[in-house]
Amino acid sequence: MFQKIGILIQALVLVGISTTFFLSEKKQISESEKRTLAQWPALNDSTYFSGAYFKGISEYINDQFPERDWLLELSNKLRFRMGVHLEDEIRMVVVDGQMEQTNEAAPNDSLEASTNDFNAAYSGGMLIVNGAAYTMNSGSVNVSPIFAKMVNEYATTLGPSVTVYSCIAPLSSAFIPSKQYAYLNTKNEQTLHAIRDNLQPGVKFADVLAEMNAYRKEKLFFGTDHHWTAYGAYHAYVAFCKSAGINPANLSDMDHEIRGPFLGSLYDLTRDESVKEHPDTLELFKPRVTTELVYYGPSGFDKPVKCSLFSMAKGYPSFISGDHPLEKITTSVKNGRKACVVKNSMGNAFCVYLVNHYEEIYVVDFRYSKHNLVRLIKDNQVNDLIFGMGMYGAMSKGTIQMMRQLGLNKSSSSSSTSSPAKTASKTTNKSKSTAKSKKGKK
Amino acid sequence: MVFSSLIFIFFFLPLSLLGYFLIPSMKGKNFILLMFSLLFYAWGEPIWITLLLFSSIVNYFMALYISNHQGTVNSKFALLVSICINIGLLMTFKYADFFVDNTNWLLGTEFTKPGITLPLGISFYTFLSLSYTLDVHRGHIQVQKSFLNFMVYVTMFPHLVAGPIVRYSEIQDTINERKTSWAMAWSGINRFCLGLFKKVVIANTASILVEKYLDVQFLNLSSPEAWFGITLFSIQIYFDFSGYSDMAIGLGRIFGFNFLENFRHPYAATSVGDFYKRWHMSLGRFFRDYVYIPLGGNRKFQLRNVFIVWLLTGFWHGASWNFVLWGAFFGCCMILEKLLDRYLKVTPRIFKHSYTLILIIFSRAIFYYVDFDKLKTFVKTLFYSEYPVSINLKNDLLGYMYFFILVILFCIPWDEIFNKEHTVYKRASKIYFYGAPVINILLLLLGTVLLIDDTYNPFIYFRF
Repeated sequence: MFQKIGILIQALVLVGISTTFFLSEKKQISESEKRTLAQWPALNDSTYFSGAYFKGISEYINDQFPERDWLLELSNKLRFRMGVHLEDEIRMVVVDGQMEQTNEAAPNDSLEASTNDFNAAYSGGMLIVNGAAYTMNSGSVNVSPIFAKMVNEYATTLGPSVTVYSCIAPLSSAFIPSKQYAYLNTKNEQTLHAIRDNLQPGVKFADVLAEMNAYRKEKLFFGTDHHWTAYGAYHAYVAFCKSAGINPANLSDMDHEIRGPFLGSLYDLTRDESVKEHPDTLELFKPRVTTELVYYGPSGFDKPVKCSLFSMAKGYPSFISGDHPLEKITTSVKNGRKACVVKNSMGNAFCVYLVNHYEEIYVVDFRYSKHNLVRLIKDNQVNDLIFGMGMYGAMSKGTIQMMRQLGLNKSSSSSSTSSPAKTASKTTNKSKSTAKSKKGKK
Repeated sequence: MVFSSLIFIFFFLPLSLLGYFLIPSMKGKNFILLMFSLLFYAWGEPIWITLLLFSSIVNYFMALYISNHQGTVNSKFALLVSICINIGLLMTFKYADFFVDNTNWLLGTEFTKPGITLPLGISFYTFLSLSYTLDVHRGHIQVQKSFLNFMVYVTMFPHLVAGPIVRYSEIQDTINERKTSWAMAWSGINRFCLGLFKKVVIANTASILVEKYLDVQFLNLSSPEAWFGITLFSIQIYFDFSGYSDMAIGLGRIFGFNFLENFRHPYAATSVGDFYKRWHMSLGRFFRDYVYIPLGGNRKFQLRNVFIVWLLTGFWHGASWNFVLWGAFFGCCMILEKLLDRYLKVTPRIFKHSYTLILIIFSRAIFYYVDFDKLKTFVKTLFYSEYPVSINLKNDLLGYMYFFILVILFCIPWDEIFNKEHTVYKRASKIYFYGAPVINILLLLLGTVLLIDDTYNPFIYFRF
């Protein structure tokens, strides 16, 4: 009798959960995981014989399981509670770095490269130190010369009228607050110096790491996100100013704003409980310069969309309204100087400080843009070309090739001109909606 | 499909049980079991199901032929054909690349590797079929005349892809006619839930740490961390495989079959020989009955026989020299133990247990690193490393403290320490008996929670 009751209870639980699955609403996207959820797979010869059909059903059931988000959170909590965690502990977690990109503005073929760009730096071991996540990668001295060569090629093509800068940020591994991992700072330095040592005369190198090292006690990188903070970006800007021979603006001369709290990409990646318990706040330093910002699609200049230098987003996408193939910032600084920044998402926070020194800034995201970089620079009489990005953009041959390709792109059919200035008057104001759509990892 | 997946637990299993218990006739039950078993296999191997069917059909007819010509030369010939086909299938689909590779290396030839992906469970169902025809030939069992029942024996999903290697003699009384009782089904559910817990909570957690120490940190490991990592792999492989076997045995009971045990607290062994009797016992029984005893057992050339059995055991695990090395290592250990037997008999138990455990854990390195260069580096690291112990070790020992306590509790052979008449054993059994309905639900829910982020977590023994 007792066993009968046991079996019936067990059966009821199984059937109850299965029934709940059928009755529950099926979703397309997981907000918490920032990825598309598996849908019921299509059955055909190819999916059947490759096993993809059955695998797809298994994935569908996992992804569409009732209360998945809550169960995921519980799962992370349970794993975290398998022992005792000290306040000052350093833990290594292993992640696969496979995050899905959610940039709606990006052309499809760029998504993969963009994701690879991130995955190159954020796969394998990650350290969790006092609730902050750090990558353990530090670039590659073998790839650095390839990056430098690409920068040199632009310098040669553009000639002496354009000054080319390499302004590459280290990875967060350089600032792990533990003596044991101090060697990663040196390894970051070696990677960056391998770029410096291979730049041709005339190309300027901004020693971002050296500048940041002097302020390593500040919060230079977010703990829950793979980007740097406004402080980290500011020191990179100071390093750039030093290499360009200009005086940097002081942070105290800018408007300070604090937003948050938020959990960024590294929480999504690690789902670590201690990271969750230490959310980030976003500090913004807004230069007292009037700016106008428009962004364009992957190619052409015919549909400019107006946005703002700081969007209303809670996290890192606040800076220059997130990632877009091409953005143009027009400032109230009237000195006739123009800059073009080739960047990945790390460049967003860096760009905002440049408004102190340029009348126009063209921000090209090499992962998404199909514009011809050389023509853009020449047509708009740009003075400075700045490769301002996180090291993970410069540590894979694939992303370097994408930057090289920018100089080879054909001008799009819609761009009878390469000057966005001529079409900027037809702008649409989308700054708020853009901020919302770019909430995902960049 | 794997047992430790949401689709299996919440859809496949309830549907197969529903179909099975709704049909009153045994023929119908067996048919349902066969259909679900084929679906279970096709889920992971939609193409190789043809190979499974081919192997089953061949063995069914061969066994019938052997039985009909019992004691004649024809019977022996049929057995030989059956052995050749079974071993041939294994050699072709599991070892072809290995043989081509080694031929090319040895003779300097340039044959192209066939590049066949290992069909799931081939090592298990081939040995199972082989044992069947051998037993029919020896007259140990009666041949199964019903094709349906024979197919149920070979393809039954509880044991199909990762064992235990069920011998026909174990189930011959139940394959044609069996009664399922509430008590048996209940004990099957208990066992399944326990196995799920071992796999999802212990083995999968250990795997996270194993990857961290044995892969990610591989190049800058200190010696203590290397030992820690390989100990974790020993934990992972044991709980992974024994968890699977528990689930298989549990499912078997629910359907009315009694499979023999496959593990008996192997890490409590006091010698390598003892370990052999406690680990993957169904494979051990297979090699004992079909290789060791026919070679002469312990009557003649015992040391040679032991070594051959271990070489074959190693080679069975995979088409790679490291598995052969693993087998040879254990073979040598067994031989040494036999030679030192009289000294070991007077050695304190704690010492015997310690050396056995060290040897077993060490041997896992040979199992883990298929790449010989990596294995060499790792073995060197076990004894010397220029790197200091990282803070990870302390933090992981603390951060997974409850996990390690759980592992130790599970590794202790409580049933050997307290016999069934002992008060502690009786009390514990009583508590478990009454607590089981709640415990099972908790284990099931815990397994579900931890599986939610783990779409595919195959068992280690799937690759063998």
